[in-house]
Amino acid sequence: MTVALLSITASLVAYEAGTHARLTARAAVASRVDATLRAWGLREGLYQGLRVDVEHLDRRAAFRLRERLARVDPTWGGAADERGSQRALGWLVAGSVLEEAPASRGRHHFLDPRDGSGLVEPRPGIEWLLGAVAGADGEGSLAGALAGTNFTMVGEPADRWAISAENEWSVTTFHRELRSAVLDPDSTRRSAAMARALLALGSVAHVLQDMASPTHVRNDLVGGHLATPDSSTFDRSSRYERFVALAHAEIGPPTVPPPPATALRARFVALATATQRAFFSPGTLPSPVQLLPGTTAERAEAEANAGAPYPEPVVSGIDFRRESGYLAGAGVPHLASYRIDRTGRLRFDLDERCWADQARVLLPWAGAHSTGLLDHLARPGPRVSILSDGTAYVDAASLSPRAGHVVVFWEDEKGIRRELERHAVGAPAQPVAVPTEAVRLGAMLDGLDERGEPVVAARVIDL
Amino acid sequence: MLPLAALVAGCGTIVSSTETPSRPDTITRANLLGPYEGRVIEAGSDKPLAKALVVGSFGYSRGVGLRAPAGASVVETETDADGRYRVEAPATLPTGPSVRLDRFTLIVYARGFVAYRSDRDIDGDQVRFRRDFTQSGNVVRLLKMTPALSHAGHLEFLGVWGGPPRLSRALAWEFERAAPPGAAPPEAP
Repeated sequence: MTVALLSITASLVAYEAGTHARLTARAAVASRVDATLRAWGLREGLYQGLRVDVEHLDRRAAFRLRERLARVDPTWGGAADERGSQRALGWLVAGSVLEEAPASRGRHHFLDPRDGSGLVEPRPGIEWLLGAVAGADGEGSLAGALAGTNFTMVGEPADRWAISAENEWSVTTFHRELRSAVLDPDSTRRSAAMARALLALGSVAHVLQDMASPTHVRNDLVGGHLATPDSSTFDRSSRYERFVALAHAEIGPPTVPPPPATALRARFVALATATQRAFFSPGTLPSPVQLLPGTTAERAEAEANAGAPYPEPVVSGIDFRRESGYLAGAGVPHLASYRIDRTGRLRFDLDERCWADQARVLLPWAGAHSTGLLDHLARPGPRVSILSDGTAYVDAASLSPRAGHVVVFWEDEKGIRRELERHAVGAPAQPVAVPTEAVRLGAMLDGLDERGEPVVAARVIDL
Repeated sequence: MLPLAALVAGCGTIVSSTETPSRPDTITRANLLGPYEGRVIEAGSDKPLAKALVVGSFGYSRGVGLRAPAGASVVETETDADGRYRVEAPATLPTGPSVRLDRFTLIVYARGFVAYRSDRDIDGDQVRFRRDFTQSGNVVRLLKMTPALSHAGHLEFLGVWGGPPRLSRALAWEFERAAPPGAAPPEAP
């Protein structure tokens, strides 16, 4: 039983952690995040050093954070030093790596855009086994392993997971930490909060990037991640994931423009829809078709399409003059391979040429959508102007907020910040007297944007 | 309980296969555990580069199928007077029934030169997958930095924003000189 189950368990993670790290780093550099960080008061932008001082955390939180950060390979670019410090871009990259730690978080990285569902492949035997391995590996409790609750193959849809209260590193976390990073009086705590905000932002980027993986948008965990063992029974992984890590180790900059500005969850749905329509995953290929004497290619294609779990991509272009070949897809010559076996069955498969075509299309999509996501979530705040009489004027109208409030604050030469004034969105802006000790002045919008989505946006200026 | 006991009992670290050749003159695959050795020279003159910083990272993942990053064993060393380096296999490996050594990454850094990564290469501003890294007899030819490659572009190629500690310290000057990717804060949308 165990051997049988092991033979059909494979990697849940669509892209390996190093792939996510590089996708996120490339997206961050291509985005406006550097300029936005400067607007938030980080003078060195993406290169700003940020430290999480674990001495300020309670013992449990400090242990958990250290344990998580120790999982990052420094050559991926997101490893804090022994003092808990690294550059802003490193924290962002670390977040994109750690979204899949522990690996059971990956069950929330699925989305079927047709009905908005997440992973729904309950298999008690496999779930028990995966939970047992996780327990033995220290990734879950022994009690959970015995009870079979360490892991389930049902998850929240990815777009909901990104904003879920159950998700420790969600958009909600990003906003909460960003508020602290802007308003906390203490500069050390602000630095740590900014690091955590970027960790959360990187995590959300990871979830979005998984929408550019066919298995994750075609509810294809078990079938899609079937793999042959490599060096041992336990050494199994998704062929596509491994292919990308080995053959596409260098992720180029995003080569397609970011998608048009849209609501957060719509970004997930848009990328998932495009991926689902464009590519097969191993477990969602059309079923084999038994060819009978006189069966035409058109008839075989129609049968194949009728037996496919998803309406797209469509099987077409089979050449019966050859026993094997490739189906072409939109813009790719190797959508799937096909062959007619000795029993006259037409079978479909995916091989390295297909993986290469998928990677060539999907990685730039992932990069472009990540760039758009980072700019969507990380936004500069209201305009802050110093008038000729020395008073400050804050204008949030250009951000078109639907609701919320604006907080005006100042910072003294010791780096201590204090709130100066707050007013509701929509209230007439009034000039604010600036304390003479102020060396920096800032404003933060905290509310709902023009689409009604939560937004925290800040701007800090030097006086 | 039997399967669980079997899982716990099988705690040897899995070592992945690799596409990296063991030597430049063979297609025999490397042992991912190493050791790794080679020579760092200056491109053009072929003079050995002494005291170049060499970082070797053995990266792990954990889980059967469900793989999560599980850290890395990192070695920081320097080339000798003849430009040679050697990175030994980790003295100890992490334990667990599914711990797997996934990859080895080598970084060589010398101030004033374009850094070397075993997994990617840079030509002008084009970064690409590197295919000439070998376990033994590896030759690292470092090109001198030119104005054509900005510090920001170089740092992006290198892709190290935090540790390892010696490399982090060695890169500090370059971060100070790197032109910011963005200039002024953008206007509010």
